[in-house]
Amino acid sequence: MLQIRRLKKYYNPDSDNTIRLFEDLNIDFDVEMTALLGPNGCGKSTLLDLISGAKFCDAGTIHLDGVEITQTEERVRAKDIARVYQNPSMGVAPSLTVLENLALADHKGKPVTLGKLIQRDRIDFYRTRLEELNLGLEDKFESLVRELSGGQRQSLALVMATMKEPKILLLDEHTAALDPATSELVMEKTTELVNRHKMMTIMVTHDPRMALRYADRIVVLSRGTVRTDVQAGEIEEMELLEAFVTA
Amino acid sequence: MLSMFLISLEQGLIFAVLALGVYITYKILDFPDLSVEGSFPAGAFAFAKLVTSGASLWAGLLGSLFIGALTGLITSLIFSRLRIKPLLSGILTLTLMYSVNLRINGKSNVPLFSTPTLFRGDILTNIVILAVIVLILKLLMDRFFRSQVGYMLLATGDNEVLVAGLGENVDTFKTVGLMISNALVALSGAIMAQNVRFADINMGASIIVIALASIIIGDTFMKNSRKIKGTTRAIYGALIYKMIGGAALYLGLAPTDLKAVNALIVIAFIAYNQFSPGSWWKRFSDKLLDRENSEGVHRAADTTS
Repeated sequence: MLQIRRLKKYYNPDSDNTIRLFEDLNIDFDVEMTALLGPNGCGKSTLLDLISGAKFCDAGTIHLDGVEITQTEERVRAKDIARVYQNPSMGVAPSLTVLENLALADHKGKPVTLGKLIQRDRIDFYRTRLEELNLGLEDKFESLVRELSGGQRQSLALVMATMKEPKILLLDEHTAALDPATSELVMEKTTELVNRHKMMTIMVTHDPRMALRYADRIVVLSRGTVRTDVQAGEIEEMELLEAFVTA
Repeated sequence: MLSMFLISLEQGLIFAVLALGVYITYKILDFPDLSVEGSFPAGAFAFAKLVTSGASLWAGLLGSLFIGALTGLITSLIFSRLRIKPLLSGILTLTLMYSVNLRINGKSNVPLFSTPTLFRGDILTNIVILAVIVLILKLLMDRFFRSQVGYMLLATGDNEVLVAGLGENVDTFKTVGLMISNALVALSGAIMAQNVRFADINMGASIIVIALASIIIGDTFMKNSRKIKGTTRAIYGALIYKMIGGAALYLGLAPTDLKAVNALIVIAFIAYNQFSPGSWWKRFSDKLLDRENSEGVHRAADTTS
């Protein structure tokens, strides 16, 4: 479980332009898919940054499975927390091949030495993971990632992020840069991966319908506070739209 | 004519070592490292200091590698610890190294007429020796880039966010890259000092242009051959570059104009890459590929839905 207590985060402190994003945020996340909605500037992406360690809070605590990680560096937290970004190129190395990218993800958490990165005996495992996507990527091991489409790249980023089965998967509007059909496809693959590997997933999205369709729980943030926090089955689409629009 | 060709080949091989070094920072890390203008003469001066003090040829070459790596480390520390931009970090290091280089031998020019050298007098033998050195370095680099550290370095140049997400320290791999790059550049400086029989404080001036020209030329000539490694391209680029320079001198160009020719060669090749019909076709076919890929995903979406 991820517990966030009395979280405080200001931007531009001690200036005329101080933004008090979080004053006293308290929220828990469990092993389920939580959709995080809210208008621009309400703190969705900053919350992901604070969880991943990309940014640090000014006060408050973050505990993961009872261990405090509030001041833990991002690269140390990366052992337990993976993130997929809006830009499909952010989660992959575009100049490397699909196989090389998978091998890099597979090496996460191990010491980096002068030994060979690509282990031939792992290729069947990579193939199985790519076959789960059903995008034909398993036949493109030697293709450069920059030659893949946005949807294929984002799917590969998902596989890479979940390869070492992190405790938390952060999805930062990861379908926003894709066209509707590809976005739907990537979202379906995301749900399959998350359900198969049982990960705590926090998904930032601007799409209430997508949240209703795929998430187990829906949280609407407004000006740094939790405006709505319900299980997906407990809220109607119109009700959620209203909460989202008025947030 | 043959003599000019052999001299160009010999110098091209020396600059191939330089190009291999700069290939790491320019092509892989996308780090504009000007400190190579300090590490090139530093390699020459460290070699000169050691061999004139009685050290062996190999100790001299190792010394040049060491001071080059140290130069790279200084640039990296300025960049990563003080958060100074790469370009300025390199300029600060090369300025620092100017004084360090003068300190090493206490003078701006050190003759190397009776000291140990790789060169044997006969130019053909020299070319063979240099070719073997370049081949060994290329193979070592290719092996390095198949290692875990090598791939992390490649990924760092490609996408720092990914490397941080893998739980690694991006600055560590930048430091490794800068140290290896500058070590190779310094080695090239040491070999050049043996070739021209002196180490001079100004031998690093505009050396970055030669390195960049080599890499850009190599990429231009081999841009349609994906299977040819970047290290091979850099080596070929250095050889072609020196051949062009040699041909210009053979055709009567004044040696004083050589630096201007160097810059013009780089400009010409960059312009060719930007505006040639081939590059327009490449952009057009890339767009087509993007569209086809996108349609492929849509088809997959239709199949699954």
